[in-house]
Amino acid sequence: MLILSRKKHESIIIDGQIEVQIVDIGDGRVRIGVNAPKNMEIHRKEIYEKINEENTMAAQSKQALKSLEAFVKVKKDEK
Amino acid sequence: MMIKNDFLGEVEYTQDDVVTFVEGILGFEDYTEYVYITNPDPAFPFEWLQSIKSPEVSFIVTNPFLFVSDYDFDLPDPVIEKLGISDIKDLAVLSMVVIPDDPKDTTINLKSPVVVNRTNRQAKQVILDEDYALKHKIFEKEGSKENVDSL
Repeated sequence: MLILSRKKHESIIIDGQIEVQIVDIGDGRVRIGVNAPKNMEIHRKEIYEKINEENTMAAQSKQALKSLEAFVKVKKDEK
Repeated sequence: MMIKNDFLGEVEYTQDDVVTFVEGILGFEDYTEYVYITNPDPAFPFEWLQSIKSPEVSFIVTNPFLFVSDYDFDLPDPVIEKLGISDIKDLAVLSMVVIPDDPKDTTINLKSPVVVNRTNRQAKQVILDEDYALKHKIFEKEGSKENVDSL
């Protein structure tokens, strides 16, 4: 990982096309501004991790499909 | 071509049933080609995206609009480009389903749906900016109306 120091308002440029600027610093957090080509997606890292986890659970759900089927059947019969 | 599905047994499919992920599903980047298998029972609207490379890798998916009628979002520009979308009508949206030990707590992922361009069968899992739930319980009462009325 490349580690650099930047002061408020300073930027770095990635691959000649993505600019990351320090907009504000303080209160235990940094406000970051990102300028990137329209075809690039930008998300907080935690969301990638959470989705990864959720996908992994979804991939394991096929084992529980029969119990879901039984549950839905019971619900229908209740009506 | 045939693929073995745990639930349905041997399933026959054609190239028309194959969905290609332009970017692998997060956590499953090595798997890009899936067979979209629908369920013959309309009362049980849960379907599959089953990997061709490794058939034991499969995701249960469903149509989110069956459970959240007002599910609405803007498709991010990068996705429109990556999937070659020219018409919103060409899109199909699927949600990944997570079935825990107690099926009444089954959830669908509304935060990152799978979007498929039906014309070229290219797909992507999209992370929405909108504040939708990663785990939306489908069997919980939505206000006074139960979500599962449509089943």
